Amino acid sequence: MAAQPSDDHASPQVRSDLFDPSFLGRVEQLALLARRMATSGAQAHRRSKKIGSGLEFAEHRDYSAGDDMAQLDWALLARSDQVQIREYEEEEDLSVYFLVDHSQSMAVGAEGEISLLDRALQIAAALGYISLSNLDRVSVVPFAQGAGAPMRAVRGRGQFFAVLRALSAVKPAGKTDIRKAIDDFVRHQPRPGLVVLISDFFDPSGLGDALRLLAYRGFEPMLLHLCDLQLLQAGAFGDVTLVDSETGELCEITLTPALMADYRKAFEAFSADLERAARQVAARCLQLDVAVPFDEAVLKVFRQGGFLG
Amino acid sequence: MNLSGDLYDWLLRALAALAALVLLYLLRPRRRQVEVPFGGLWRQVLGAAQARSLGRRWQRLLSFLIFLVILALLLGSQLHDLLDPTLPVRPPRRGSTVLLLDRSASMATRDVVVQGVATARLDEAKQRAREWLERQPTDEDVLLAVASGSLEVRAGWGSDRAALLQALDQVDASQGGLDLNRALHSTAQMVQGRPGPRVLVVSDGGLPLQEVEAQPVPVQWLWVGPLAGPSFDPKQAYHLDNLAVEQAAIRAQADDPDRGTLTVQVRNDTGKPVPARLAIFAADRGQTPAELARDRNLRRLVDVELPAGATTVQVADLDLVDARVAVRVEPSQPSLVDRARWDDWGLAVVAAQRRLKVLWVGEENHYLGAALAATGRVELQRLAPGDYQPAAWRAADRARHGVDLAILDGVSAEPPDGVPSWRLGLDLARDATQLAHNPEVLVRTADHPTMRGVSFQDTNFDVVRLLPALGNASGTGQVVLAAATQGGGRSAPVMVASETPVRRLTWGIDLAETDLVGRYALPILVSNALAWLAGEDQPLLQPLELGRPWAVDAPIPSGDWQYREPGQPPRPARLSAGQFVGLSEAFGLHQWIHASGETVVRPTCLPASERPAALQRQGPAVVDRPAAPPTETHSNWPNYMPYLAAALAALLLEWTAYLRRRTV
Repeated sequence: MAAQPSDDHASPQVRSDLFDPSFLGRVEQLALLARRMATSGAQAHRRSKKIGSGLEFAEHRDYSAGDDMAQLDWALLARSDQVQIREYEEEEDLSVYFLVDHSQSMAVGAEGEISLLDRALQIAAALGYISLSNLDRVSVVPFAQGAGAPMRAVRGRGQFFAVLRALSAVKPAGKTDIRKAIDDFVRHQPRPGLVVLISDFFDPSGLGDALRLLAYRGFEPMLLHLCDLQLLQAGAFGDVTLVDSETGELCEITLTPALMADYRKAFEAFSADLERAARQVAARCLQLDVAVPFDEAVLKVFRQGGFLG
Repeated sequence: MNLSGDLYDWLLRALAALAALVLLYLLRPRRRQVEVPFGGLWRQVLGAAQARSLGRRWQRLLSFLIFLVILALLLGSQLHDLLDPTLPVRPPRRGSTVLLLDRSASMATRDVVVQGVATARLDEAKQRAREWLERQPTDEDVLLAVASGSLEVRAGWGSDRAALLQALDQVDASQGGLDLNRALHSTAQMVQGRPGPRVLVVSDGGLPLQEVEAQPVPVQWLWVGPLAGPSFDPKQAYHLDNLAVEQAAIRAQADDPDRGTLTVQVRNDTGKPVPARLAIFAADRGQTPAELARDRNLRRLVDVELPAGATTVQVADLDLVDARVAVRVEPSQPSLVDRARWDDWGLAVVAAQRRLKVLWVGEENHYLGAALAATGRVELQRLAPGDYQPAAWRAADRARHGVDLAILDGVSAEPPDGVPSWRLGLDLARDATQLAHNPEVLVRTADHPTMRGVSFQDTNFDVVRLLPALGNASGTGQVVLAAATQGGGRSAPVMVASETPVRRLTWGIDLAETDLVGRYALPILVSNALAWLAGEDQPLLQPLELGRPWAVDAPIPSGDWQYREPGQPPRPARLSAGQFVGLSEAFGLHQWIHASGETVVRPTCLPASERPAALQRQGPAVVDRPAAPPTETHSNWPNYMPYLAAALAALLLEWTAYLRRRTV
């Protein structure tokens, strides 16, 4: 069933435990910092790649019947008798979609630490604020076994609380099926834009097909791989029963340092596979440890992820 | 419903055990549960860790071992026939094989135990031949020949397997013996010139190795019988649980020709004393044991204690009204199994001929005794060397006994005066010049009456005593019958005959130092010697050897002679140069009846190669591959099927293990 954009008024209140005043203050600082980085030339405003009727010249193309004669490059015709049409880059609002994984695996975290899902929501909120500040159109789409009801796209800094309310409504549930989620997403989002996928990407069926589908539909994917590296440093060894958070499957093992070392290697291989899949569609992939404060994570996205590039 | 006490107790115990199991299950140590975001990654890690674990390595090694086993089994199924030492080697290419099956009387002996059931040797031989046939490639050309007294082709070249098997099933045992050497010669001629020729003999008999190797085609052997088996060693002596009648002879009393003494030479091969019973039958008619051994023909039962080896049993005061006498020996102990029932019979003919009275001075020698008895005309008096005193004997004993000739075996004393004598086992210091070891002995005077039909070819002499060279032989009537040749071509006499003053034979041969005793030459020599010493013009009566050509002198060299073979109706006799000639495999009394009423009767005896005792002494030297004892009587399964079945089982095991590995 198609997911319909949710009404802002029907959204729950903003989670005060997650988006408290200090969080909002740090987001504002991040926005200022991002603006400075943009004006220093290190980053630039993101532009649409659409060719249209903007002011900045893009390229020539051959004239064809029906073209507007006003777009004809008369000077070129006079110089070289070539009939060419001048085309300009069309500047339009950039759509930024935050696809937040809210499957059960995102709720798992070390005891007393923030969960992956909460960290994902914080990062999405910070990046959403910065996008709103850039006058981009922002939408939040939670996903697990499929894409959830997307938030109606909003624009302008004044809509930040709408974003926060949408994020506050996301609860952990279900299994991860990124392919189906992307299927649902592209079916109802005809306007291409930047897709920020925030997830642990623990999907047995893999990610490659989903990314290729996004690229094929003109979206520009960006992967934020959240992980809890503390889980990889398990201090308690011995006989344990592992419970899969999504499927509930049990697996009795004897946890040894050697086995943990193997698990770390397997996780590194998993991350490497993820980056390889991202590179295949010219997307960026950033690994963010949940133990790292969210503002540092956001800055990392700025610096390494080219979020504003 | 009431439960019995025991059942109630058992139910209580079972319930208690069940309760204990449930309690142990509830109290089992609980594992700490850890929630992980993605179990798939852990399973991947565990799979890799298990793959490196010792158990997994062992599992892989086990898998490799199973693979090797499968490979070995598949190879084994193909190489089974090559590796099985009990089977003849399968020819690598198309070949021609004569399957020579022995159907002589001994093959009817039921002494092969298959699954606790006594089976005839012929049945085992047919089974072995059938298995061999089924293993042969389809392009192997096989001819089936059966042999006893004569050779007979039952299925020729080009016969299909079904015809061969059918012909094989129809083979039955005869009553005669088998001359393996002659049969091999004939079969070799059949297969010579064909591609890949060979002869496969299925028999319970044997031949000296040199005779087999002398055949123009390769000969292979499938042995059957009680001696066959993996543990069989032809070089070792074996004791057969067998009692046999080697010879039987009748001597009429001097004062009453209607009564006489039956002398039976019995052989006990059990290696221990055995109580036995002699059943004596007599009848005017009848030629075979079956015909004679009827209740109405039973004359006497004699219980005797037979020591190991050969024993001469004399049954005195028999009524000799009937012309034919048959004697059967059988063990009194029910526990003793007589393995060769076919040689339990002895036949004798009551003849009105004069008996030769022979004084035999020497230690008992059953070979010589048997050879003497084989003549059927010897009245023997044996003295131990210590009991022989020529002077005293000359005066008294000679008058009383009136011996025709004397045999002095290993005795230094002189023979009685005026009595033809035969001396052997000479004293080296007195009678001979020197010893010759392993010489080659050749007949020098083949036309001498004592050497008729005698050859020393293939006869081994460990030691012979060389006699003094003869001076002027013409004056003394001395003749060198045989001489020993040693290295350098020098030869010296070892057998000498002289005519004056009486006939004398001197042998530089000790019967204990030669295998002549096991040769057919010995009874011929003995018979010839007795006849010559006694002044007989013709050889003494000899039994006919089964399966060998014979010639019997006819009293009337021409005319209407009818030959009656045991078990057959009379037919015209074959006469050649005044002799009845022919060959028979029928065990019993052979008789030729003239129209005038003149009758010639000859009993039969088995060839030496068919006698178990002879086989023991000579050893079946040719058994290249002793047969394994049969484990089943018949099976339609090819031999490689067990290998393939085992390989299939191993393959299923490996497949199961593979599926299990895949699911980890």
